[in-house]
Amino acid sequence: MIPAVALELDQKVARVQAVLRTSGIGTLAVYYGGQHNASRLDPVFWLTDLRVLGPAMVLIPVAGPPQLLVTQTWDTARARETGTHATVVASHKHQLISDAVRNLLDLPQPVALSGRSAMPIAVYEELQTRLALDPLAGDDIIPPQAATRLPSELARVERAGQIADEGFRAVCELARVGMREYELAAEVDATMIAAGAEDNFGLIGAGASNVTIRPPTDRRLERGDVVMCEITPCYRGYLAQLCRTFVLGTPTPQQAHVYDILMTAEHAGLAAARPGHPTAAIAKEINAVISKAGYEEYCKPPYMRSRGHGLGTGGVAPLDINESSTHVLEHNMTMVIHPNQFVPETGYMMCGDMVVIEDGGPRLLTQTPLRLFWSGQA
Amino acid sequence: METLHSVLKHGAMYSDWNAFPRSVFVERLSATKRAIRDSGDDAWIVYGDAQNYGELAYLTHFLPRLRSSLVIITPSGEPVLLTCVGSRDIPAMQVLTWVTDIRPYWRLPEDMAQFLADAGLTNSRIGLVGVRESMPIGDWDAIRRNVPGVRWTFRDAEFGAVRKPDEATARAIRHAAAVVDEGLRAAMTFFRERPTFRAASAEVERVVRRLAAEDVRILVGGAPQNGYQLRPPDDAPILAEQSVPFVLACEVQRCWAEGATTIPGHANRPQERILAETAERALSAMVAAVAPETRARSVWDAAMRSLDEPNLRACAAAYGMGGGIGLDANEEPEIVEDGAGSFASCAGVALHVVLQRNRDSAAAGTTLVRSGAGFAR
Repeated sequence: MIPAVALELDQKVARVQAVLRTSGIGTLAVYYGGQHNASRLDPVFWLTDLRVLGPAMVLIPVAGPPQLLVTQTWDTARARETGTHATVVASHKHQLISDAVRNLLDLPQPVALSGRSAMPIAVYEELQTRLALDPLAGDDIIPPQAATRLPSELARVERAGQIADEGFRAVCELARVGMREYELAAEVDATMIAAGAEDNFGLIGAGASNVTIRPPTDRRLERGDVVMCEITPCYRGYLAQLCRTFVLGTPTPQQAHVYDILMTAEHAGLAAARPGHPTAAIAKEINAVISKAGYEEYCKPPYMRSRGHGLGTGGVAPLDINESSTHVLEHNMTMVIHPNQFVPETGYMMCGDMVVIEDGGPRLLTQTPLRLFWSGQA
Repeated sequence: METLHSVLKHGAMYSDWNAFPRSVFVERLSATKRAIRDSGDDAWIVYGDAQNYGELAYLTHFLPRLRSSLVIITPSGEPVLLTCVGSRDIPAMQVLTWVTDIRPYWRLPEDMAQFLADAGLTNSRIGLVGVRESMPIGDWDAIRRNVPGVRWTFRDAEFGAVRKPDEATARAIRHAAAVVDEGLRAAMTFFRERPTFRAASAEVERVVRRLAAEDVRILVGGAPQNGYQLRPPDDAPILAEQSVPFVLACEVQRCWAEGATTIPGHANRPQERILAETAERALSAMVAAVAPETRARSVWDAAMRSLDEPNLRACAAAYGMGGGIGLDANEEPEIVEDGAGSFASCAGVALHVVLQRNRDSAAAGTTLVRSGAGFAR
């Protein structure tokens, strides 16, 4: 257990308790099903630093220590090592709700529920029956608290960024003509796991001209392929993303030209990523560069949906970055800014970096040079 | 065995149409349509998410890598697959399914309501499969609000009667089990060569993902600093003298298989050896007890009878002893003390025994596949 982590976990609980006090909620019951998802915040992990193996709940009373209910009795030691000051309760997947409700009845009322976006119908029906009422809505309490990274969280995102760099280096070193896409993805995965990643929200696809990024298939790499890499390792629960393009061979002048446009767009987007600015400004700056180059129609759906998104522990604020997004950037938000783009002449190319928003602007958390990569390059 | 779910299925995403020819799905779909007609419903919706998608994959061969997907089946029409991606992602989804009508959605309650309206189903009777156990209550409430005229019925039991273990699934589980075996063999090498659980597990993942695993789950134990218990691989050092229980599950072509073994330490201490042999003996007892008509509790009893120490029985019980496996990593019936379900509808059965005594720990596990009138390793 790292003392700094324990302090931060206490801080998070205190923040939630402050909201409970002002909202008139006695206890917040937080549910997560254990289905980790890079685009969804896991509130149980955020509160306890435990990546659960199955369904779990955290009960946070308006005052006093929380309880963490896990559904594998053999996994409680791992839960206790995280630094959480929550009382760890060994439950079972078939008893989670009955155990939680029994404990909830001894805690301050009324009860609100956070987790309706993850709690299956059958589980909710059991909760409702055992509580003999509908819990209050509590889904909006945690996400705003999790919008910015605390120091130990940021350190993990930074490490995830370094691992992403290692993953892309593996692509550059190991991609070969004749290799299947999934074999290349396996090499990247193994490289990043060895470097400390426990997971990867990764997509690697290739082709002479691609429509968009996609998962790896059994297709064999061919000379001239454009290998699209969205590399997103998870380090101790926190994700960072690197988007780059690798040409298996020598890039065509057109590919080099388009990539120059994307690099200019990324610089423009980064310049707009400052605290107090709306995220829409990032998308507008990126789209302005690409539109000026003659590709305005490809800056809209179905070709393009977002120019980045919040990323850290699952999807967090500022969520998707597009011209109509309304979030305002804050100090210590972490996100990926990616002017990935389809253009007819080259197909889809990927270009993007993980950043943390600081007072002076964004700081890159991925260090891979911003350029087009190709095989046999010095 | 329940393990750490990944943030995305990021392995080999393609379809082996030789292993799963279209005719397999046409037959499954026909049986489902007959069941829909028998139920009197106008349509069924079969739902799955990134963790539980067996029913959906059975009909479509599709698996949601993230979030959820569903297929809508009417008695006379072609199936329609709704999946949570952008429209530009549809070509990549097409390689994962034989269903040709694939539509993207971003917000399920709104987009599903629109689909039902377009299909003339807003005042219909719709059966639901996989929804009650997996769909989040938030989405469900919104869907019901958006299409108040639909009369919904949960049809999991009816679909369960349709879903039969067939040779295509059994063959795919067998293939996944062969990949697991390769992974277990690799573990025997790499857990002797690499310094940490994480480094050794990385090599195992490399091996099985290069063999086209779509998803991989690892649990590893025996580290003194971890109390010898199983957990996802971490930076605990591998001690040469310590034995390591190792559990591996792999998904290949939508089908899961699982295995477990004890990687012996260099010290080869008698206590370690005896514990590993005890786990293997309990596993053998379970293997011998599994048959299609067997109740899950009988398999449990077989294991418990072979474990003569109460603390070993308690340990095995805490870790669980397996259950059905196939298109989901954890299927019914679960092997528990009072398990009344039989294995009649299982294409595969995963069995494992994890034991711990003082500073020794051991694991043994295998996947049985439906073969003729019984199951085979």
